[in-house]
Amino acid sequence: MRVGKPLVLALCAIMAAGMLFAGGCSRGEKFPSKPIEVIVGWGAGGGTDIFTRNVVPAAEEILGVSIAVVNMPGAASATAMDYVMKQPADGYTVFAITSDILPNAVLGRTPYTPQDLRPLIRAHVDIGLIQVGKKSPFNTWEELVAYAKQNPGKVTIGGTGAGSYDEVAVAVVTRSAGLDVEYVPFDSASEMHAALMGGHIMAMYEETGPAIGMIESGDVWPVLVFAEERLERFPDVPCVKELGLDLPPLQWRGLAVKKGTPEEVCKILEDAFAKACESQQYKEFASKRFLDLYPGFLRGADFAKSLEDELKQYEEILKQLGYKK
Amino acid sequence: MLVVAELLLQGLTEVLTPPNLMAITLGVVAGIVLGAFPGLDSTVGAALFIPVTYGMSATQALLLLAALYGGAVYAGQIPAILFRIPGASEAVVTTLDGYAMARKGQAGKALGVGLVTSLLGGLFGVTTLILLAPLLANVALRFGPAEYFALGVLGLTAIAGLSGRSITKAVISALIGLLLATVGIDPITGVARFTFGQSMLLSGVSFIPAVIGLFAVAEVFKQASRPQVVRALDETELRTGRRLRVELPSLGELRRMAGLIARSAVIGAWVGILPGVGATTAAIVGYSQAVRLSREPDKFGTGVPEGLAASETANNAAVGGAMVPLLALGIPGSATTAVMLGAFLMHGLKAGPLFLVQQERLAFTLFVGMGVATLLIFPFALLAVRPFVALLRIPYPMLAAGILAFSAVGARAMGDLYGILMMFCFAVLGYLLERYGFPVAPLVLGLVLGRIVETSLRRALIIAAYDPWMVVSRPITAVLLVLSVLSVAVPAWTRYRTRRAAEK
Repeated sequence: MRVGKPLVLALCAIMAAGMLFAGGCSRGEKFPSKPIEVIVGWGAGGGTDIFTRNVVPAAEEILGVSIAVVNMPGAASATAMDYVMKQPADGYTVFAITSDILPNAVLGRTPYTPQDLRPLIRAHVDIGLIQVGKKSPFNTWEELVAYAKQNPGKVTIGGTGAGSYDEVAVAVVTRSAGLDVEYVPFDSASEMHAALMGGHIMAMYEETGPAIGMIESGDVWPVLVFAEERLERFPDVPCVKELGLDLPPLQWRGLAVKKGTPEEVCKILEDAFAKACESQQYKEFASKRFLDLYPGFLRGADFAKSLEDELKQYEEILKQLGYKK
Repeated sequence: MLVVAELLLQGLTEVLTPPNLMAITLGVVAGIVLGAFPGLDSTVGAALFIPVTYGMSATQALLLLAALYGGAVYAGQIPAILFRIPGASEAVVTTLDGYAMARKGQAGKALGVGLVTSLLGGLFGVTTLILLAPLLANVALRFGPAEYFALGVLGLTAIAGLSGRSITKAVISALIGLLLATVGIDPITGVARFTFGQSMLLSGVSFIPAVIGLFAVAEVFKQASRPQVVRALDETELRTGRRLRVELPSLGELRRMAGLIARSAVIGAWVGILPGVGATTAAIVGYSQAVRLSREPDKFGTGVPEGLAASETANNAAVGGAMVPLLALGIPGSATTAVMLGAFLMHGLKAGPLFLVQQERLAFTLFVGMGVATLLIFPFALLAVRPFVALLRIPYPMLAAGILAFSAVGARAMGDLYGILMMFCFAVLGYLLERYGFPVAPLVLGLVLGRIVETSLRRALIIAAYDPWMVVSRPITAVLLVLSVLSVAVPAWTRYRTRRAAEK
């Protein structure tokens, strides 16, 4: 069959018009008009992944578009950050961030710093504690200090990762207490938990959620809270501030987009995710994981400011620890 | 004992719920299909099926993967017997007597002996798991960094002592694996090593894309590089025609081989328990024991059911064995269980010393589920042999395209941004290694154990204030290190003696 010239021309015109229309749609129309992706720099099933999946459903309802959670694990989320930075700054790529982006930037694991991001919200703060077990040679923070002073360099405190948030937090607190302790980095929390229960390390830095089973069974208990105030959940455990020790930066989770995203788009996303943090599902998740022990929610502007302060703190500490020259 | 019985009963009721039973059935069927396909084995199968388990409960996911492991280890024998193609690395030794039997026109009988001994071995392995894993769990807390280090060393030496024809090549392969294990951010000092400024290397070699590349894709490359297109069916088909049926061995035959089967089961389970070595090694050791203790060692390899039975009992017993260190210590007992470890993490489970204590119900459901899966292999295997004959008639180029597509999906499915690139790099590496006679398994072991050995030793040294003697003189550590030395020295001594005896 031969197709006539007029028909071909007409088809071309229709297609051209279609393209113009499509182009107009994605530029001028209101945000969001297509699905949004949230990039998680950790594997499925991890803390950050679960956080994202619990905040997303409410945000989907508010924004009226579907939001896909995409896992890109690797290098403490540095790989995912590289990916986010290569996407257009249009608000359709949201990045689930954790405190780890700070040491990653300071240690040069990614060429990008938190200043390349426009923070949307800080959803919560995960308060850490120094915890000891039945085989530890001390039962309280006071006893730990006394033991460490008598045996300099002998006290071993486990944490996850090297040059990580855990190491920085432990260093800030023990140094301000004038203690000489050894930080023992572990790859996985479960290995560290077993090492504490088996008496291979004397103490560990850990948040409440992952250790709650052992805390409730009485195998492990907290001796020091890394916060300004005592926690309601552990009223007898002293906090860093009341002992006159330095407060380390906080461990948090939040959301951000690439810097340069139009401000009105950022505002829409910020409002939507802030409201999603009020949702029933998110609140239930936060309380089940003990993420509501401390008021950690911040909106974009405050979050950006706190990030700036924390970045300086990390730079200083990691330099002191010999990670950065 | 009563508690164990109660837990087992509880596990059984859990297993018999429809969703769990479906997961097991799916696992067995998928395992048989994958295991029987050349180039796809339980390791690749588990990796491919992890994404499928995303939407399942943790129980279903683990049941599916464990059932798949058992099914795949069994099914490797089908193409091994029929076409001399080990469907999976576990079936390498099975080809020796299995294919020889098929050539004698006893393909049906070979399939029957293989099936029955697989079941016996599998059930023995599961029993070992049930009896030994809780025991090991109590010992597990004594394992600190120093002990993990020694355990890793033991795993590494076991492979050096047991691997194939050329020990030198096996060692070189293992060293490559160890070297690759150091890529990425140093777990103790946080410094980036061997990353060459590439962000894809910061988190190290991603294990699943690497194993898919090393095994599945490399096999495609290997087949594709052959001058002739492989025809799956050859003279066996002509000989046995379409009347190929599984002929089960008689009770008398089994009784005659009872001692051999029992020995192979114990050896298989034991090798399976050793971290880092799995069903493939188990089959090799089981076979060599059978030859050594036989009254007619010369007959092995000429198509005797004993050879087939030794290999198949041992490799299936190793499945349950390999789960022991995974469940009790969080240390994978084989390449497949190393992949399964990823599934644990994905479902928020801690495979580690606390698993059996904290997840007792799930653990016993898994135990019973593995037993049920082993039994389920039987009917499905009888159903499966026929279609396999037809399936393997698919022209290889089409089969290869399918394997490549599946592999790419598997490599990317973990969410790894560079998974496919990583997969192809390892496929080329795997192809070259096999091309020049280097076994690939030691590389995988090096990759898995290198990280454990290195970080545990350094962690142990930090704890011991950098006194090496304090590390190696801990009782469990010392025992494990002595065992490591023995597992290298004894085979070497035996070889030396046999060579001297031969010279006389």
